[in-house]
Amino acid sequence: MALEFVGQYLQAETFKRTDIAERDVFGRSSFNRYYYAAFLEARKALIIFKPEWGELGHANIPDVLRNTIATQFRNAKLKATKIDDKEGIRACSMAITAAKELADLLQTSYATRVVADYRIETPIVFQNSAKYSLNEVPIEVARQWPSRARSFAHSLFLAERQAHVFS
Amino acid sequence: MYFPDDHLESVFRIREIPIVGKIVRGDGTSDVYVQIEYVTKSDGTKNPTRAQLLELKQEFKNINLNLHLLLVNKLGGQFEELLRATLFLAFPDQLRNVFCSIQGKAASVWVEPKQALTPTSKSAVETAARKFCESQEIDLVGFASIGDAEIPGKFAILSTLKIIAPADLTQLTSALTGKGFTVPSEDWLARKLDAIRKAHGVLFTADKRYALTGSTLKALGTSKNGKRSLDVRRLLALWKTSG
Repeated sequence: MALEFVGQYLQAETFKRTDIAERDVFGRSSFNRYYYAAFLEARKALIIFKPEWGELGHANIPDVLRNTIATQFRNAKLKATKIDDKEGIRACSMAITAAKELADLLQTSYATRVVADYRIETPIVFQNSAKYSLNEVPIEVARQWPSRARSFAHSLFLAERQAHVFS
Repeated sequence: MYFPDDHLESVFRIREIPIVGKIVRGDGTSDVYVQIEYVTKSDGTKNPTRAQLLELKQEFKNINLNLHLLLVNKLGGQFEELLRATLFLAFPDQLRNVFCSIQGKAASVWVEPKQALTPTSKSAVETAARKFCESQEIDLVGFASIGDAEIPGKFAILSTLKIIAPADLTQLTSALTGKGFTVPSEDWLARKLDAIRKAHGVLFTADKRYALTGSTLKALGTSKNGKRSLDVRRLLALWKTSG
């Protein structure tokens, strides 16, 4: 949670600054914090599933979500269907979609985070006094990343509780 | 060999696939991230097509670059924004956030309430979400409210019973609650188990305890995945009770 607050603080601070260079650094940092907050939400779920997944790099997590995790829940859904376990089927379906969405989210936000940290030639652009974006990604979209990631991770937890895929 | 961004951009331009924003290179040398607009047309076909996207990836691979395509869907974003606005309006002060995933004509929706929703308000929110989706000719195929009570399914009940069997209703209820499930009542659990018993999934012993039948044990399978394995946990549970 904490990192998300820092992102929000930096976002508010970006609007307060009048100096263009200051706006740029605060703006970029807000994107960075929102990305990390989302990343940590995903990592929390992965570590519970398999402690060694805590070591995965940023670029590898989306693959694990799309391949290993989605496949496991797909198998669990088949198993649940066989024994007519409605809660299990529902939880696994949601987890399959959530794994894909979480992977997409992490990949997209990661790319923006790279721009924020390393591509200083791509500046923060103000659309108006209440809106800014980076590489065409609006800050309001980035602000949602952490809770979006939390929602998807929640579905992974629920399905795991029903289906014991990783235990 | 290094390929500058404008060279990479031209690969997209030739195919008339517009890029959103700038090309981003990862920390590693070979990762390239590109946002492109991805649209599902009214006839269900996608633009760009899957074949086009795979071809692009291959073309990058040929020059030793690992292309990550980030599909940006402005329409999908609009759908979510409208759904969020609709639900915020219908349930003021109850929802913190609303997210959705659209795949073709199927939508899954997540709501993050400010406080856990009661079953009644949860189903009201779900109905409102469904109505909105219908108005956009989309099926609501999944709905989740973060933090609400979760009832154990058949598999969860059986796999929990496997660890502690033979167990009575009180013991099984507390084991399920310990896992984070909500058990509406012991009566509810008794009815569930009775249905499973009729299908020969569990045994009900004379001292009012439940145990799995051989066929259920077989169906649940075995795993030797260390201390997480149901079999190992069963052994540990036996050891604790006998100790």
